[in-house]
Amino acid sequence: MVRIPDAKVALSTASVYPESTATAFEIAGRLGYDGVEVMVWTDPVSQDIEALRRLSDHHRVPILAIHAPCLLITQRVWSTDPWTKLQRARAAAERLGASTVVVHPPFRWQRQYARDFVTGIWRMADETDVRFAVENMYPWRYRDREVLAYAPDWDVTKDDYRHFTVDLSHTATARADAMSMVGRMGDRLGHIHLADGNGSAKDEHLVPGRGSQPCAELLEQLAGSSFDGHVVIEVNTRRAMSSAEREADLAEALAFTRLHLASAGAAAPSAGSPPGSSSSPDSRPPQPRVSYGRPRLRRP
Amino acid sequence: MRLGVLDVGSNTVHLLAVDAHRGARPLPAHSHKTELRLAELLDADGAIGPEGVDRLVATVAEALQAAEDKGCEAVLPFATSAVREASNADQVLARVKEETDVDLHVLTGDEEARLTFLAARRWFGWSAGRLLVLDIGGGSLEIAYGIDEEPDAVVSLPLGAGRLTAGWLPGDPPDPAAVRDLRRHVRAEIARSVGEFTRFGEPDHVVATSKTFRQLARIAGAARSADGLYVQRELSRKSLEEWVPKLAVMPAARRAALPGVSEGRAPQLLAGALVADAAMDLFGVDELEICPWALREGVILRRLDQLPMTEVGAPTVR
Repeated sequence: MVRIPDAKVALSTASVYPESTATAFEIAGRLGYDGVEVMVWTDPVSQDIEALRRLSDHHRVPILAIHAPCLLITQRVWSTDPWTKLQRARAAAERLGASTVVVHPPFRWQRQYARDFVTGIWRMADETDVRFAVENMYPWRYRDREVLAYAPDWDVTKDDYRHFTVDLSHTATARADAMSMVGRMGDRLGHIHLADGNGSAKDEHLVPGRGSQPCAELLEQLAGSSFDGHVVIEVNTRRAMSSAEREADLAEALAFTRLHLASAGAAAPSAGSPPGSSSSPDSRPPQPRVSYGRPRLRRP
Repeated sequence: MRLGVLDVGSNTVHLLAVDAHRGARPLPAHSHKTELRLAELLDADGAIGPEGVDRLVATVAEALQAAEDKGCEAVLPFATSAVREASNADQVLARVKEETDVDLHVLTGDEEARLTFLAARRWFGWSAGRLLVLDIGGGSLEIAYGIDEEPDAVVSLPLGAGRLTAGWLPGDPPDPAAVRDLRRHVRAEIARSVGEFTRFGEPDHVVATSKTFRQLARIAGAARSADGLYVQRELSRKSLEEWVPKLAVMPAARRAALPGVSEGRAPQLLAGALVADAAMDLFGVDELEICPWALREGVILRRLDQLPMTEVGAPTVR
C-alpha cells in the first residue's frame, strides 16, 4: 500500500541566503515546494505581513510556518521583548495561515525569560491553534570550551513542551543521537527542520544526504507514521557560486525529501501504533538507498 | 561632550573620538584604527573562525582602551556587513560581549545607507537638493537618494571591495577572464536596483563616501587628505574608465605605490574601481564629489539628535 503522507515540504527563506526573502518565494514556486517557512530576521520584507502575503499570492506559495526572530543578531526585530516577538509571530501565523511558529529556547542571559519559558509557551499555545514548536539547539563549542548558551537546556526534550521542532543540523552540531531525540519527542514532534551535518562545531546545515545524520531514516519513519506536520528544508547555500548552483542544491534537497517520504511498497504500520512512534523494523521491507551523485558518508 | 564611535567594519576596526554637542559639527579629536580584514576571515560557509573572533575581541578591547585614554564619556559601538552576515554572528556577538562587555549594535544594510545619507546631507546642506550618495565598503555597496534628511530610496548590495576580491579575484594580478566575469556580475547586480532610484528623477548632486572612493579620486588627481576636509575633491567617470584597465594589470604591490593607496587596501582597489565605474555608468553620473563625512559621522549625528538640548557639554565659554 502506498501511503502519501500529509506532510508538506517547505523551503526555509533562510536557505537562499544571501538572496532575499522575496527570491525564496520565487524559487520555492519554481522548484515545486509545497510552501515556505519564513525566517523573520533583518530583511525588512520578512518582518512585513502584508509584503509576505503579497509574495505568497503572487508566487502561489503558501506560508506554512513562521520562524520567530530569536537570534542575537535579530534582537531588535519585532521588539526587544522576547514574549512580544512570539506574540507577533503568532499573529503573523494566524493572519497568513501558517500552522506553526518555530521558537528557540531562551539564551541563558535572558534570565527572566528562561525562568518563565516553559509555562509561558504552554500558556501561549493554549490561546491559539497555531503550534509553538520549540527547536533543539546545541552547545556552542569554541576550541576546547563548551558554552551552554541556552536555558533551560539546548536539549529541549529535557523539558515538557506541547510541540517540538527537530533540526538535524543541530543534532549533528550537538553530537546528539537524532533518532533517540525524535523518540523522546514522541507524538509531540510537530515540525521538522531537515538538513545534514558531520558533527562540526559550525552548524553546517548541509543538503540532506551529504552528511552523517539519519535524514532518510527520519523521513521514512515519518511517512510510516502519518506525521501531519511540515518538513522544512533549512540549508546553507552560501557556497553556491551562482543562482543556478543554489537552485540545483535546493532541487536536490526537495527530491531527496519527496523520495524518502514516499514509502511506496511499505506495509502499513501495525494498527494502534500512535503517530510519530518508531515503526518496528520487521514490519517494513528494506528501502533502497538512493544517492544523488555525491558520496554518502557511511555511519560506522 | 566627547563621544567615541567604534566602527567594526569589514576592513578595519576604527575608534573615532569626537567632540560634539547638539547643533555643532562633530570635531574629530582622535583616531585609533586597526586593520582586521574581517571580510577576508569569513570561511566558505560564511563563518568567522576562532582565530578571527580572537582577533576581533582583542581589537575591540584595545579600541576601548584607546577611548578611555582619550577621555570618551560614552562609546557607540556598531558593526556592519562582515559581522552582520557571518553565519555564526550570534556566537561572535556573544563572545565580544562576554570578553569586552561591548554590545555591538549590528546595523542592517538599510540603516547603514540611511546614516551615511544623513551625514552627507548635513555636510552639503539643503542647497545640494536631490542627493544621490554612493558608498563602497569592504563588504557592501550602499546607495541612497533623497531630498530630505531621510532618504526616499536606499539599497545595500553585497558588492563590497573586500568581499568581491576574496570571492572573484584570486591571483595577483588577477586573471583577465576573472575580471571580466566580475565586471559582468557587478553591473547585473547594480542594474537590478537602478530603477528604484531613477523613478525619482535626476539627482542635483552626486556624492561618494568611503575609503575606496577617496583613494580612486586621489589616484585620478584629487587633493591629498593632508590638504584637509574642505578642499573640493572630485572623481570623473572618464578618468575612472581610464584607470580600471590600468589597475587590472597591476599587481597589488604596484597599486600600493600609487598616491594615497595603502598597502592594506591595494588588493581590493580593482574590485572597488569596477563597482565605482559600474555605479557611475549605470546611474549616468559623469562626475561626483567626495564627501568626507560618512557612516561614523551619521551615527554620531543621529545620537546627538536624540540627546536633549540641555545636555552637559554645550559650550559655556563666551
